[in-house]
Amino acid sequence: MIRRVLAPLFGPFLASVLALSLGSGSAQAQQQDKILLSATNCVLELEKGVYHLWDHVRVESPGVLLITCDDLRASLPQDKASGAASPLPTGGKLQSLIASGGVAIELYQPGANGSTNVVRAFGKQAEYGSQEEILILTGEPRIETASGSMIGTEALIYDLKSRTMRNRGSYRIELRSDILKGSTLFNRGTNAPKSR
Amino acid sequence: MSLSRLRSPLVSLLGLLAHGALAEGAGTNGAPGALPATAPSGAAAATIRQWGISLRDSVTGRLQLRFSSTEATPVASGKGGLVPALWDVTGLRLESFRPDETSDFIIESPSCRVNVAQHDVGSPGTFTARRETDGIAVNGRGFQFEGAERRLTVTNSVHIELRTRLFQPKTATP
Repeated sequence: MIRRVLAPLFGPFLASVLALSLGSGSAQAQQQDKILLSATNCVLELEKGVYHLWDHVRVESPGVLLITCDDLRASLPQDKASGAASPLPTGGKLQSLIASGGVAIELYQPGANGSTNVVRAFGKQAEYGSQEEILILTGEPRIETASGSMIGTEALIYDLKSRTMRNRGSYRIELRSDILKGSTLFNRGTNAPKSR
Repeated sequence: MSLSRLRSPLVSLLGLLAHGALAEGAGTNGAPGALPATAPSGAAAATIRQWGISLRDSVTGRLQLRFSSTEATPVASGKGGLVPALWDVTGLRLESFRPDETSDFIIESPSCRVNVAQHDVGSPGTFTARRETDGIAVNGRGFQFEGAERRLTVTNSVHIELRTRLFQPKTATP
């Protein structure tokens, strides 16, 4: 039910996340292969592939995604099996990511007429685990699209495997009033008897 | 023979010895034994050109780290002597190796301090680090590399470029 209700509203968001999960050979996918991290401080465990960044953290996949937060812990273990010949080691995939403190996520996707649709997500913590392949947004989680907002009380969870969104705790959806402008939803003829 | 005329061949000799240490991979884990690892005694700190040292695991003998630089000067202590194992180097290139002795990370810094006994390198200045196999590139200002743990700490303005995907690629369903 929730999926059906949310589909029109969060279609762009789901499509964006879906685009991230599908690594095709397109130009966008090529861009996805590059991730830029920046911060004031960091500790990199080079052998373990554990990265900890803090203060003014930015994670950018150009043209696709931007995450800003106060603290980021990422695990990106090296693939011992992959040799130097591989331009993109499969084992170099992100194993886990925990962004915390004022998390803001922007997802970009091409819109109509060359425009770019931006979906924004906010929360106190965002967590991704490759084993479950879910993205959990907690701490007053909120997702904003051009159509409106989805506000959760506990957690908003996106399942990358089933491509569905679910919630933990209650949630509410706020739609922008102008999305009904010109709609015939409340302007249809009825079979009610005409008043005399 | 004047002191300056004596010093020049001495510096050359030390440089040659340092280069030899690099070529032969002298030094052991935690206790490098190459000549450059132990700062020369005496108040005058000679600058060594083309300084280098390789550190090997004391048990397996495999190559772990290789330091090389255009110039290195032993660090002087406040008491007029030299601090053992501490070197101020310019044009550092530090290469770390995997268990199969293939190249792993390469760290470069225009100016930094090396502790060959602890396998540490640090500088308040700029640096770059990269790993060719997966295209990771790091740069920033103010760093400390702990060779034993392979841990890199950056204290100011770090930028990391990863060549990877955020999420595992899926096979598209027909």
